[in-house]
Amino acid sequence: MRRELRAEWTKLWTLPSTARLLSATCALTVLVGALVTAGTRASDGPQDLPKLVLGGVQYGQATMVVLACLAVGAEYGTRTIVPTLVAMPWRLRVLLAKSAVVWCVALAAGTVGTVASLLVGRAVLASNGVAAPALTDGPTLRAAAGTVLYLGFVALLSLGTATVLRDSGGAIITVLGVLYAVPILTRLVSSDHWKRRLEKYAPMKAGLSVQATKNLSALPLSPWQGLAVLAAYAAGAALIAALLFRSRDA
Amino acid sequence: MEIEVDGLRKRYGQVSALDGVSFTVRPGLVTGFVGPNGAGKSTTMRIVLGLDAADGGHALVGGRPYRSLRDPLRAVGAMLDAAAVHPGRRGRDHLRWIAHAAGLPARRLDEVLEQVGLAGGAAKRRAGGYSLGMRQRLGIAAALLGDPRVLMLDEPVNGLDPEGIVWIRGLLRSLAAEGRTVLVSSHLMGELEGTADRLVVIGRGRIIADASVPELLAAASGGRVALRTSAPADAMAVLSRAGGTVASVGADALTVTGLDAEAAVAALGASRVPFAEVSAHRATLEEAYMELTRDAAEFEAAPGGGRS
Amino acid sequence: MTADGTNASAGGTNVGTEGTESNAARTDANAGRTRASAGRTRAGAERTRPGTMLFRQIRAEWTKIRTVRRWTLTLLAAAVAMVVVSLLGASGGSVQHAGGPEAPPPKGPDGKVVRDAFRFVHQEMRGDGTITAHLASLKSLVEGEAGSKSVPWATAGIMVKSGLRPGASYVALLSTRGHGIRLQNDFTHDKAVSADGTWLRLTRSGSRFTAYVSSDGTSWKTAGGVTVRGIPANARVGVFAASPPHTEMSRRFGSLSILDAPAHAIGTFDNVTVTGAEPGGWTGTTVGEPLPEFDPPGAPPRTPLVKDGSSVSGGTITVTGSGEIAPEQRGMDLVQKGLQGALVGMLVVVAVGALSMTSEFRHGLVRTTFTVLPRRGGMLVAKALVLGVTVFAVSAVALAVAFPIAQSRLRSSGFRPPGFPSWSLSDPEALRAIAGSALLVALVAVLAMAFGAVFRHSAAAIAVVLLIVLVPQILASALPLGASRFLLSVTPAAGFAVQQSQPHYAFTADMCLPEDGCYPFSPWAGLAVPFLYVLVAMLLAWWLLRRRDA
Repeated sequence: MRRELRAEWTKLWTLPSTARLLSATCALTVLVGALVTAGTRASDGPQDLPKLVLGGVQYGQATMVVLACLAVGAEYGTRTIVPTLVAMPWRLRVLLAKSAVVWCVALAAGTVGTVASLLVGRAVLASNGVAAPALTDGPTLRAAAGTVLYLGFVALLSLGTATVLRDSGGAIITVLGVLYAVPILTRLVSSDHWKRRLEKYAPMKAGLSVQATKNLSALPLSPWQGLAVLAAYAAGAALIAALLFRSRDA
Repeated sequence: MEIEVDGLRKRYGQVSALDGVSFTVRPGLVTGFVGPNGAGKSTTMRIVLGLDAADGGHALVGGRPYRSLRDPLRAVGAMLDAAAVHPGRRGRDHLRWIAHAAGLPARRLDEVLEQVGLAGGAAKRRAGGYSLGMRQRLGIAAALLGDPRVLMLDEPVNGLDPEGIVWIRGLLRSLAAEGRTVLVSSHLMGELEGTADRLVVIGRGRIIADASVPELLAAASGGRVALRTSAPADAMAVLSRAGGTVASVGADALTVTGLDAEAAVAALGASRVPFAEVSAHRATLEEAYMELTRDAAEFEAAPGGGRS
Repeated sequence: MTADGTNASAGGTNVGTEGTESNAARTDANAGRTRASAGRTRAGAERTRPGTMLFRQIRAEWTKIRTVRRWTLTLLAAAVAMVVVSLLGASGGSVQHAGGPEAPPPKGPDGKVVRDAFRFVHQEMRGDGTITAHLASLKSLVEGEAGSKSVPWATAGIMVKSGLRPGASYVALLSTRGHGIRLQNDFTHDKAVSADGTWLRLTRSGSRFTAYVSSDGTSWKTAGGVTVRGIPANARVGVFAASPPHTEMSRRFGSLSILDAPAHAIGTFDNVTVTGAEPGGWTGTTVGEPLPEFDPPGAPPRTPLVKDGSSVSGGTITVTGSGEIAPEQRGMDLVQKGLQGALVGMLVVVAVGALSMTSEFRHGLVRTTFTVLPRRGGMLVAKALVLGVTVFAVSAVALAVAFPIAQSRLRSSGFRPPGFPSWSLSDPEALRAIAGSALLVALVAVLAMAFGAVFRHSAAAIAVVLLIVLVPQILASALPLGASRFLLSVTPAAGFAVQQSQPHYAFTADMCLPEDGCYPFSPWAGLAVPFLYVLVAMLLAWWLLRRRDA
């Protein structure tokens, strides 16, 4: 397993796109978070400030999706899947190593983006005269750690989808569609029943409920439950991916 | 280490790509694997490497399925598709992840790059800018990386310049001379002439021939002898009595099949029939191949050919 | 160019793409096509006109797109997705009609549903005449916690109206708390008056109405005029006041809370004179029903501060009114609801658009294409035309199939007259929305294709298109309203405006919220934004195609 991890790690970092996409993830997360926070005034009344400050991850995740989809999709696109499986014929180990590597860089990018968002957000809030939340209180820590994990699960969901579809373009469209189109469509669904369900079980909405620090009883799912829903999506995608990757012709 | 292929069958939808393919590739020899496009060469190699699953039969390397080898890259080096390099990755980095996958030291990179003639600036460039020949060399470098006992190269000559073709022939001969098992596929018999010791000919998903090069040539030329004589009628009588089939192809020219040249000369000499210009017609490998794969080529011209 | 050269390069492609069956099939088909057209080109090289050239390129591109089974299937999948999602979006809703069947809402002179509620102090005017009034004060009163606030659209002014029936034709010159003096008529027509002043005058001459404003009652400035034919000779003339409720809204990352508090406008008029009227007193009438007031459940019943009413004493008339004189609130757009599948179909089509270009580069097919038809710009235009027309046709058919079914589903779940309009394919707004949506999907597909030529990488092209089409819509509900309207104006997402059947009127108190599917632009203007993107991307792609090696 060590060799697979090393090989996948080398593969990821020898592509120029990796560093660019990871910096884009961090930058988008911090930038959008700061922009939204900048619009907040003390007169707006009590707000869920950690959620506001960390909201940029909704946009930063897009480049993470691209990175994770390319990690598998490009192997099929450029046919390097052949040398990969010739060099490492144990397919589950390959998939596991790939997931571990992508998960690690997603968590790293998520940590950088989250910490930077919190610091920048605090500074922006302070300049607007809003009392910033303490960085170390329980709910804020949960929101921060949850955001990092959220990004990790999104990366795994993308990786699994790309393995199933064997095509980076299709996978990017599918994952971004599931993440983004569902909330857009939810606005216009006429059935309240379905609206609630979609809001409860749509991967992005559910996963991001981990960012909530206030008014938790009003949420359809508790923060950790919400993240667990997203984790279930990621696990489902990974499972189907593993079954197909093992049995299919390369 | 041998490659053993036994009764492989594989279908892609309606198209039967392999229909009971069996052969063995022995160490110390260069074995050519030839057949027209779409005959099943690549599919066979993919199954040997565990990339595709066979619908029936099995393929073993050193007596074990590829996917159960403990150290696959030290056992088998393969190049199936020279274009299979990420265009954004540097050539050297492409080799580096493979080296990591096989647990090989970094100095092997320089060794194989030197061996295939990519040392220096080329390996540091991104593979997107490589010519077909450079990609081919990079692919061969990847196959050589683990210093494997078995080498499988799919169409290695494709895209190489004449100098490169000479180089790869020498490389294959020397690898075989070191006692390695070498399997090289090609759709052009000419490419293997003078390189291969044995030939496995495949067409329409079936093995058509599996023999040494001299055997194949003999089978193809069929012992045809041409001669001139001033007494064609006598000569025909004598030669057919000796067991040959004789055809008149001109006023004083005959061709004989079923007898080799020496037997024909002996028979004519014993009967004192005058003759001149006896020549044994020797087939080229290309002709032998064309004869063998004629059916397969007809199939190839039909629509809906399968993958090669 | 010789036929031999063409064959050689087609053969080279064949070797390079020994991959999936569909690739092989596509290459073969293309090789066949290229041979055929190469022969023709050679025969008629001297006489080939640009038009013929483009026609050939279009045929070649059509064959290319048609012969890849994967793309045909993807386009079909897009059509199916459009139908299914449109139906799902329209299904299962329900409308509760509180308090029995609703009274039919008032309809304006053009037959459209309107809001018409205000307090009117009036008398009859026969034929031509003039009303003059001095608006001594205009106050806005908001009830509840927000008592210190005022409503910008609280209005008071003078009006000529054909009758007291809600929806009757009218002309009004009115003053507002926050939006100056305005001349309005028949609900949908509004003009800001540039002149300043508290003296208002409205003169009728036949069907011509002229408004004057003065700051001292002696020197009058013409503020504008309108022609309204729907007002009979005998009309009601007088002063009025109305105020929409006070609305407080907070939006944060997709959650929206709107707090409405009832509000009244109190207009105090003096020096009210009417010429051409029957001698007689003023009558006070509350026209229409004021907007229903929703109390939060469980809250104690409120005692209103003031009630609508009016008093006349001497020359001074005080009018207290609530309600609005405005076109129907945007509310739920049933046309838009029945076309949601366009968004999902668009996602699918983006893949075909991007791949139709990037696969040329990936498989080296572009070398064949450029060898056979060396005009690179022509290839781009031909591809755009073929892709655009194909996608448009597929989407238009899918949406036209989905729309009537979606509407009938909406009707059966309660969205039906009298509370909601009934839409069918023959309504021009519905047709515009369907054709516009299909056009939007086609534009986005072509945009993906052009980006494919710019980036030469399908993942990059797809991600960028999705980011500029989808993400603005999500961001829009999170950002402050101004920023979100800006975003929905400058990104291709503005094109979704074409799905709206109801225009947004800026002169009402209604907010145009992206959450409700309201876009800043009018339908066709909105569609122009993605069109501009396509134009710029095509030019960039054309420039790069010419500059870069194939």
